[in-house]
Amino acid sequence: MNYTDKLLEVRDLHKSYAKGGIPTKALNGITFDVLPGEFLGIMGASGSGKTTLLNCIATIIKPTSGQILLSGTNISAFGSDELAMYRGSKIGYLFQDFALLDNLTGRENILLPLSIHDADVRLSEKKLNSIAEFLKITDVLSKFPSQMSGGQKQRVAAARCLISDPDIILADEPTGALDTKAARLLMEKLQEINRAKNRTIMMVTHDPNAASFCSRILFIQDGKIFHELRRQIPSETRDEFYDRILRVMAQMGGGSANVL
Amino acid sequence: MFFNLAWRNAKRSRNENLIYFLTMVTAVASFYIILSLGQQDVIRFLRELESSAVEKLLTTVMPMVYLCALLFIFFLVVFANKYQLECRSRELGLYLMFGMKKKRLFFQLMMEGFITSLLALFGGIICGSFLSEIISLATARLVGQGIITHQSSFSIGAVIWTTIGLLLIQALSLFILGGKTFKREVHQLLYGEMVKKQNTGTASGGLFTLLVGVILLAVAYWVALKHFFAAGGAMLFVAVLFGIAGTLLFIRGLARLLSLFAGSIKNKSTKGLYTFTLRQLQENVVCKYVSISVASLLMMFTIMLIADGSSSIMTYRKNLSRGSSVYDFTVMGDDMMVEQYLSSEKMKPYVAHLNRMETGKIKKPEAGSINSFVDWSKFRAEIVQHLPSDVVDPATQDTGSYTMAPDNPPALNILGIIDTGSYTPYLVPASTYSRLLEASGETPLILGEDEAVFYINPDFIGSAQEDESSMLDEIFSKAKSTNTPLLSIDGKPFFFTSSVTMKGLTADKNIRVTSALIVSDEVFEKYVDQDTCMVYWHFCIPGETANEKGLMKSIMDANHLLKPSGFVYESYLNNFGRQLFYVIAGSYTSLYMGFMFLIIACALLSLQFLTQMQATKERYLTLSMLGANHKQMKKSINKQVLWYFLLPLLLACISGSVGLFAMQKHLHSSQAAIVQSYPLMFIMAGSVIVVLVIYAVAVAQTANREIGKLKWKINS
Repeated sequence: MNYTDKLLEVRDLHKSYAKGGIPTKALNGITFDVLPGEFLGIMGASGSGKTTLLNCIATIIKPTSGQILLSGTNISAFGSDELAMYRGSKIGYLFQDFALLDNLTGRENILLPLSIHDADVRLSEKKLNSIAEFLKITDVLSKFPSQMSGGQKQRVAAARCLISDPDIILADEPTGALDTKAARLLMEKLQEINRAKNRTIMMVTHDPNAASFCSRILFIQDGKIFHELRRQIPSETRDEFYDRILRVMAQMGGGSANVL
Repeated sequence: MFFNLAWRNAKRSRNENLIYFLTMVTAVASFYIILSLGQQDVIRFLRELESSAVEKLLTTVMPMVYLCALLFIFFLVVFANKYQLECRSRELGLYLMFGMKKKRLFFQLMMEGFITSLLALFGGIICGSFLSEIISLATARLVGQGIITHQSSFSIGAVIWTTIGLLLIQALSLFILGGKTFKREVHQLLYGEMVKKQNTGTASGGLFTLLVGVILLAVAYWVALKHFFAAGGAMLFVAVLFGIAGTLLFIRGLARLLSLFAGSIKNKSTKGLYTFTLRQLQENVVCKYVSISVASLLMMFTIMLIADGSSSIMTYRKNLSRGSSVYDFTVMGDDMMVEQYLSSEKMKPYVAHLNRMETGKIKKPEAGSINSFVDWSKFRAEIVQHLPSDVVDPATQDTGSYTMAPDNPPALNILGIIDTGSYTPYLVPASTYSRLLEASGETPLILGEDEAVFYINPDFIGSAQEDESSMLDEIFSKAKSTNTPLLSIDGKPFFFTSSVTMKGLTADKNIRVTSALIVSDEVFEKYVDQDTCMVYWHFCIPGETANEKGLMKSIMDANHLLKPSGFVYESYLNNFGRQLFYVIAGSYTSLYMGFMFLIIACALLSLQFLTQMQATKERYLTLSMLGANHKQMKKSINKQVLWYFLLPLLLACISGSVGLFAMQKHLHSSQAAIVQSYPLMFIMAGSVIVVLVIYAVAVAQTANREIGKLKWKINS
C-alpha cells in the first residue's frame, strides 16, 4: 500500500443548516485524509455530524464551505453530469435501509449501476457471478427484495456497491437494520472486501462491535474530530480494539479525562 | 387562522396537484354542458316545433345522463381526493401529532375541499359555458341551414345545479375518504403504508392468463360480429361479459409477461434504465390492472360512441336537406274551408302555387274475377332481364322478401317496388302532378289516354335513385319505339312516359307515397277507389316573400298563421325539425357520453399513475444515488407514462373497431353515410388524441416535478 497517495482528502469542511432561524453547525471544520485500502470508521453520538459528513462525501448534500478531493479531484465543484458519473462509478453507497428497488430482482438491482452507465453485458454478467458467489447471494439473485432476509438484502446492496468497482465504499450504519448474526456476517464480508480485494471503506456506525472491524476510527463530536483510534494490525486483536473503542465511547459520554 | 390554513392548503393543493384540479374543473364543465342543453340554439329552436319530444328529452333523458355523469364524476372525485390525501398523509399525521382533534381536521379538509370546489366551479363554469357556446354555434351552423339564430346559452339554472352536484359529490367523497384516513394509525399516516409484496407471479401463469384473455376477447368479437341479435340480444350480453373478462385477463397477463421481457432481452437489460422502466410499468399494470382495464373499456366506449355520434350527425344531416319536396306546406281538412282560409288576405303573402292534390288507391276488381286491374307482368319481365347475373329474382325464392337500399342493383329495387304494391297501386291525376312540376319550375306534364308515369318517390331509395331513373328511361323509350305497351289497366294497354322528373308529393317527408301511377285525370276518376282518396292542399311560399323575409322565417310566420285554423298541416320546417331532433337526440348524447368516458379514463389512468409514483418515489432517490442523472430518469418516466396510456388505448382501439364494425353491420345499413362522416370522425379522433396527450403530458410533468423535488433530500 502506498501511503503517500491520499485517496480522499477532506479539508476544513463546514456545513450549517440555517432554515429561517439560527444557523446550526452540523460540521465545524473537519479535516482528515483517507488512504487507499483503509477501513475507516466514523463514530459519534446522534447529531454529532457523522452522517452529514458521509452525505457530503457522497454528494447527497452540499457542504457550506471546505473541500472534498477524491484522488485529487474536487467533488464539490461537480456539475450534474459529473455528479452522476461520480455517484455511479467512483463511490459505492451502502444504506442502512438497503435502498434496494423492491420491484427489481436481486440480479437487476445489482446490475443497475452498470446499466445506468451502459456497461458491457458479458463483462457485467461475469463480474456479477463472482461477486454473488463471494457474498453468498447466488440463490437470491432472481428473487425480489421482499422475498429476501435482511442480511441477504444488505449483501445484495453490498454487491451493488462492488459491481461498479468504486474507489471508495461509503456505508451509513450498514448493520443498523440487521440482527446480530446477519450484522456479523456482513461485517466479516466487508472486512474481507477491504483486506482481500483491497477496497477502501468508510463506514459510519453507532455500533462498537461493527466498528471493531475497522482499521481506523474517527470520533466526531459537535461537528469536529474529537478523537482518532488506530488498530495495531496484526498485533491487536479485534476484541482488544473493541475494548479501546468502548473506552473512548465512555469517555465521550462522560466527557472528562484525557483518553490518550 | 382556521380559514387561513384551509385557504393556504387549498392553494398548495392546486399548485402541486394540477391533475386533481383539472379533473374537478372538467367535472364542473361537463355538468354545466349537460344542464344548459335547454338553452342551446338548436334545442330552443326545436322546442317550438317538436315541443313534446324536446320536453321528453330534457325532462327524462337528460336528467338520466346527468345522474350517470354525477355517478361517474363521483368516482373520479373520490379517486382524485384519495390521491390528494395519500400525498398529504404525513402532513395529516403531523396535525394529529400536534394535538389537532380529528373532528377539527375533518372540518379543515372539508373547508379545503369547499374552497377548491368553488374555484373549480368558477373555472369549470367559464370553460363549460364557453364550450357550450361553441357547441351551440357549431351545431347551429352544421345542421341549422342558416335558420337557427344564435343566442347566448348561459343558464343560471345550470349553474345552480352544477354547484349543487359538485358540492354534493365533493362532500360525500371527503366524508368517505376522511373517515377511512382517520381510521388509520398515526404511524401509518406519518410513515406511509407497508410496501406491498412483489406479486408478479410466474411467466407461465402470465402467459396462461394472457391466452385466456385473448380467447375470451376473440369469442366476444366473434359473437358481436356474427351473432349480434341472436337469442333476443342475450348473445350481445354474452359478448359484453366476455369482452370485460377478456380485457381484464389480457391486461393482467400482459403485465406479467413484461417481466419476461425484463429478464430475457439481455443486451438491452444493461442499457440505461431499461429494466427499471419495464419493472415500473409491470408493477403499475399488475397492481392496477382493474383500473387499467376499466380505462381501456371506457376508451373503447369513447371510440364507439364518438364514431357513432359523428356518423349519426352526418347521416341525418343528409336528411335535413330539402331533398325532392317542392311544397313548403301541406294542409288537410275540409275542402271548402281550407281553400277559403288559404285564399284569405292574411295568408295571401304566404301562398303561391296552391295545388289541390287528390290521391287514392286503384279500385279492386269485383270478387271472383281477376286479382287486380293492373297487369305488371310485361314490365316486370323486362326489369327481371336487367337484373345482374348474380342476383336472383326474389319472386322465385321461397321467402320472397325485398330490401330496398341505395346499395342494391336498381332492377332489384324496382322489382321490390312493383311487387310490394302491385295489386292496388296509388293513382295520381296527371293535372295535379303537372301543377307540382310547374311549381318546381319544370315543364308541365301532358299525358295521353293510354299513357302513364311510373312514379317513385325520389327520397325513398335515396342517393342511388339516378340509376333507377336512367334504367327505366331506357326501358320505356325502347318499349315506345317498338310499340310494346308494358302495362295494362283493366285490359287496356298503357305506355310508360319516360324522362319525367320525380318530385316529392307532399311538403313533409313523413307522408310518403313511395310509388304510384300517374295517369290522366279521366283514368284517375274512373279507377280510383273513393274510400282511399286523400285530399292535400299544397302551397309554396311566394318567391318575393321568401326573398324579403328569408324562406325559413316566412315558413315560421305562415306556421303561426295556420296554428289557429285547426287544420292538420305539415310544413317543410316540421319535417326539418323532426329530422333535426333525431340528429340532436342521437348524436348529442353519444358524443357527450363519449367524451365524458374519455375524460374519466384519462383522469383514472393519470391519478393511478401518480398515486403509484408517490408511493415509490424513493426509488428515484436510490437511482440518483447510483448515478442515474435526471435526464435518464425523465426519459424513463416519459416512457412509463407513454406505455401506461398506450396499453389500454391499443386494446380499446381493437375492441372499439370490432364494436364499430358490428354496429355498422347490424344497426346501420348505409355504407355511404359512414363514408360521408369520415371527415367529422377524423376531427373527433383528433380531439380524442389531444385530450389523451394533454393528460399524458400533465402526468409526465407532474411526475418529473416530483423527481426534481427529491434531488438533494434523503428520506423526505
